[in-house]
Amino acid sequence: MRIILVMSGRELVARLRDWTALLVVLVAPVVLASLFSFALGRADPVAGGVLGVVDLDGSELSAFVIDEVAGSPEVAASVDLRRLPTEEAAEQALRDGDVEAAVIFPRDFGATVQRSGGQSLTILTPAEGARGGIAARGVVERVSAEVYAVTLAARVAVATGLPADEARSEAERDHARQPGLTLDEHVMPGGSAVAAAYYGPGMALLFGFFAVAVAARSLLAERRLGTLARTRAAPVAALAVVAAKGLVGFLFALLGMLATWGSSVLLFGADWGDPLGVVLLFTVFALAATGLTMALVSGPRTGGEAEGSLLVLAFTFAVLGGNLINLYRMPEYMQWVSLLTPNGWATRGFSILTTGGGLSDLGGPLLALAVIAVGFAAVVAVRFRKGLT
Amino acid sequence: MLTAALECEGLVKRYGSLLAVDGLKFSVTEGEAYGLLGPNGSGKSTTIEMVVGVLIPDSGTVRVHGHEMARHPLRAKRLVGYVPQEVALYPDLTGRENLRYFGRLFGLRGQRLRRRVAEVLDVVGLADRADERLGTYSGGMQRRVNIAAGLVHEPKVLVLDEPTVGVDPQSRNAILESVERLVAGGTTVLYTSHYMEEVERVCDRVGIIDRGRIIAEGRPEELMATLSPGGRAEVEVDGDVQAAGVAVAALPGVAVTVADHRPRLLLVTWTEGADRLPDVLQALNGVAAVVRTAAVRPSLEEVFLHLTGTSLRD
Repeated sequence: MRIILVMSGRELVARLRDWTALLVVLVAPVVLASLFSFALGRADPVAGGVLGVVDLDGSELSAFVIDEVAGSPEVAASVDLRRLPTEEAAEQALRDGDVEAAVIFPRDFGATVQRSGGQSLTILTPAEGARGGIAARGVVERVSAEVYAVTLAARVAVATGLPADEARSEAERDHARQPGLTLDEHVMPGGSAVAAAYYGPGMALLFGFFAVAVAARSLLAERRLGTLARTRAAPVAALAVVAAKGLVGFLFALLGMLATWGSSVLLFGADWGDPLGVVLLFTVFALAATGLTMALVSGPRTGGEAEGSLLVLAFTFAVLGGNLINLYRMPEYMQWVSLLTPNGWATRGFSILTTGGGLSDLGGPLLALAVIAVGFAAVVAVRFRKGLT
Repeated sequence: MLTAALECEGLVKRYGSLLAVDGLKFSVTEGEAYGLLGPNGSGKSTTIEMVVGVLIPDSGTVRVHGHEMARHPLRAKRLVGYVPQEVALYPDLTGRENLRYFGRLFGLRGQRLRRRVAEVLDVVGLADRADERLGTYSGGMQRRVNIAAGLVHEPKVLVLDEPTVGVDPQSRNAILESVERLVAGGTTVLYTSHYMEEVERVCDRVGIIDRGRIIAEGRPEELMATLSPGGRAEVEVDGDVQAAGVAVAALPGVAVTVADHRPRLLLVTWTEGADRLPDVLQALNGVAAVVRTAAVRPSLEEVFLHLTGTSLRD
């Protein structure tokens, strides 16, 4: 361990002297976070979600609720409502991918509300796939909250004869504990209410790969300098050399991603979700990226080959993993492909966090990233045992 | 009894279809300076990389003071100092920082590390420039730090791979003097070069390597004796050079030629007897006046040419 720290220390000194460390750990993350925040803004952009609405009831109350929901500026900003005639039409639209989910107002909706105040809404979501899962649930939950509020308000209006605005106030006062009375601040995954909260983590992940690559490139540079051979002639295990480089890469990646997050939160007020979850995701992702990158540079003997591969790998994973293109807008097979990348898993993790999930919801992404990290660490160990020249 | 500091047996290394080292075998006794002499591409550097544990041989063994490199690499490497052919140091660190770093890799620390760094800086004569970045040094100075980095942990065996390539004469001499001092101090040295004069100057024993094999081995004078078991001499005469040549050539077992560029100089070679020069002088008595005589040793260059049919610098 002492040898690893000696080698990592030398690497850090070198990177501090040539300013790489400062660039990777501080300047680039802050600049990136700023650019994204300025480019995407803090306002809630249209998320592009299309929600099908089927009014089987056709009552005055159901029409009132649907109009209220459609007219709600919060919903209108992030969801397009598409009225569909039948449940079958809604199912077909779901199959065709024309809508993310559909809300069915049943035939007895108005009567039931009048009678018991309860809701009886059916929510249709696609059978499988992330788009029909997380994204659609987010959309529907958000709309449901509004539906609930509006339904209550409508019921109050009908029962008391008050105007709609007053009825809503009345309903809110009587049901103050019900969160549905106000629009839920729930952020939709894949179509974030604040796009920076989706692309911010994406940029951090892409940047994490680049930061690891800085350390990996220094291994290639040592090959060229001849210092790698000289180090190997010392009583130092091959794996210790790689571990030292990996440690620096891991630290750079982690600190760079933390700086991206920190500047995004502190300077622009972005909310990436549970801080502990964010740090854990960053940590395990940095480990996975480090393992993968070090495995890559252990292969090709020429520096140019490996350096080119690092760049290709970082961008390919960023695209496939939904860091540059919204994962939840990709075709479903591409969403499955994204699971082959650490970025894809981390993106899912951040989607969970930004939609209000906590540590307990991160099991899948964390486990997958840990498996990737351990798997590639094993590859590195085997490759480097055979020699490191 | 002489102890083997370094033993190589049956070393083989292939790169695809190229057989770089072909069953190479040699040993270096403790305190000995052994020269590995061969042209570029003969397998010297590949051999050296296997000796220091950077390269794993396809077959064969390397032992350093009895520790087999393949089985106990850390123990074996601890005893070896490696000076690569190219300067292998960090240009963004100072000379002293480079030495401290490589010292730490060999487990040195604290006072001992500081003392050793100061000592090796003295050995290579760079104590006054030690705190400047390596990138600001001249090529020769960098080469000297390159050597110092191989010495900092007081290795029992120092392996130098062509340490003077591309170095100006002054630095080259400084490097050779450093190596001579180490040899005099009892350090075992494995020295590769394609400069004959360096090997002759530094090494006790020489192995001539060609196409990955040792084709001749021995003390420099022994190797030169294989080329000319008798002796050679230059004889400068004043008078009838042709008659002098005929008189010397009449001696049994003696051959003579007149030097092309110096017409009064006879080059005399004999194949038997330790010294036939007195016979030569007697044969010239009354034929021509002898101005000067000098014994001529064959060079290792000629030995190499004789053995391989190629020049060392090819």
